[in-house]
Amino acid sequence: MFNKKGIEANVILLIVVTLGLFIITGVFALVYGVLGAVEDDLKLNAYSSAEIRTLDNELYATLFGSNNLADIIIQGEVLDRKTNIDSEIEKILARYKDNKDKRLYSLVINYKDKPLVYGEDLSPDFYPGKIESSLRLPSLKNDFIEVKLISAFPTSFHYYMYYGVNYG
Amino acid sequence: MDKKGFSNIFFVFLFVIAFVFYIAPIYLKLGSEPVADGIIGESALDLINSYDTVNDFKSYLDKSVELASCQALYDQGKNGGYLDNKCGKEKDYAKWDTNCNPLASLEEDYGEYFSRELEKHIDFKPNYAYSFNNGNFLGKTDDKIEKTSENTKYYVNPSFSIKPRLDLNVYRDIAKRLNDNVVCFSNKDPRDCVKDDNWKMRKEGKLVFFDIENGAECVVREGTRFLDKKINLKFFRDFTKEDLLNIEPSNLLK
Repeated sequence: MFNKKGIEANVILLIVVTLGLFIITGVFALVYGVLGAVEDDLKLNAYSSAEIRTLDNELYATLFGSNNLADIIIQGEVLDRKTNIDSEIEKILARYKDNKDKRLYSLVINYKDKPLVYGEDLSPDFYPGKIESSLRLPSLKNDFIEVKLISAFPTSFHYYMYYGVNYG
Repeated sequence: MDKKGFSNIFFVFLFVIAFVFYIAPIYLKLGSEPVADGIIGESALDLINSYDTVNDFKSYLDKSVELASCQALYDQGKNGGYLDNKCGKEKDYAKWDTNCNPLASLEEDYGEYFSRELEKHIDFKPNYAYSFNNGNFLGKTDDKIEKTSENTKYYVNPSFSIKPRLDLNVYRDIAKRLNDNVVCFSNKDPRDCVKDDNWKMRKEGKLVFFDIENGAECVVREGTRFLDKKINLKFFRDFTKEDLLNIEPSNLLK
């Protein structure tokens, strides 16, 4: 009653068409993904800019707040004030510990002769979502002292969780 | 049309439909004109960041002014208040007498000390006009410094105002106390003339060497070293007859 060869041919055609549709869907999914990623990058850049601004304010308050950290840092380049700097910065970094966003924070003082890093060393590139704020202070000895407050996520998981949950 | 031909056309048609279905959103997305480059709020953030650049510059300038002010006070005090001492020196102490002292040009000389120090911290040379107003030291200029943040240019006026840690009138008060006690200084132990722990005095013949200490403390450069020091006023005075002759008679009678 049925032409066996005809049925086989139709089944093969159906499989080919289904596969073809899968492939087309895959290709377009890829194209959509690329277009979406460009847009997400723009969004993330804007979020990062806003977060850098927050970090700028944090750094400003840290340096010019009531504990006169800026003066201690300037004097610390030429006088033995390391203990003072250490204890002041420990207090500041303690505020950022166990924060809700799970970010890591680091404060770097770029003395020309003896750079100091407090907190996690976030200089390697592999830390995701790294943002930093820097401010220059005059130096009694060299041209200037650069102070940086750096923030990053410990892992990509934390990074995606933060942006996925907050901005996704 | 046979069945096979029909199913082939159907599948081809299915592919075309799928293709159109998938490509339509991309076509619409790429064909639509964005309202602005980037995303909403980006320009505002650029502008805010440019304010930060200006703030960073101003905080740097303020700190530079503080450092320069301290060093200027220290150097001026060490040099007896003079910029160029034309009255003589003895054992690294500048000489004060009735007619030759730094009192008339204290503010001007401080401005010169300050200017030399500030230039060490800043990389621009504004044409500052220095003045004092209610104990504040002002540096005014019409010059503008260009600061660039991303694509935004900003012009900052680097004028400043600072309250020096030492009021220069202290020199005048000291001179007055000396003139009030000139007879005492020429005859007695100086510690009997001024009873103040901050006045360190040493008498050698008719010369009295003064080291007058102030509460103001600064980190200063002393040669190649840096020290946390109090600002001292260092000078000597010759209480000989010639000097006494220049004193107003009313002070001699005290």
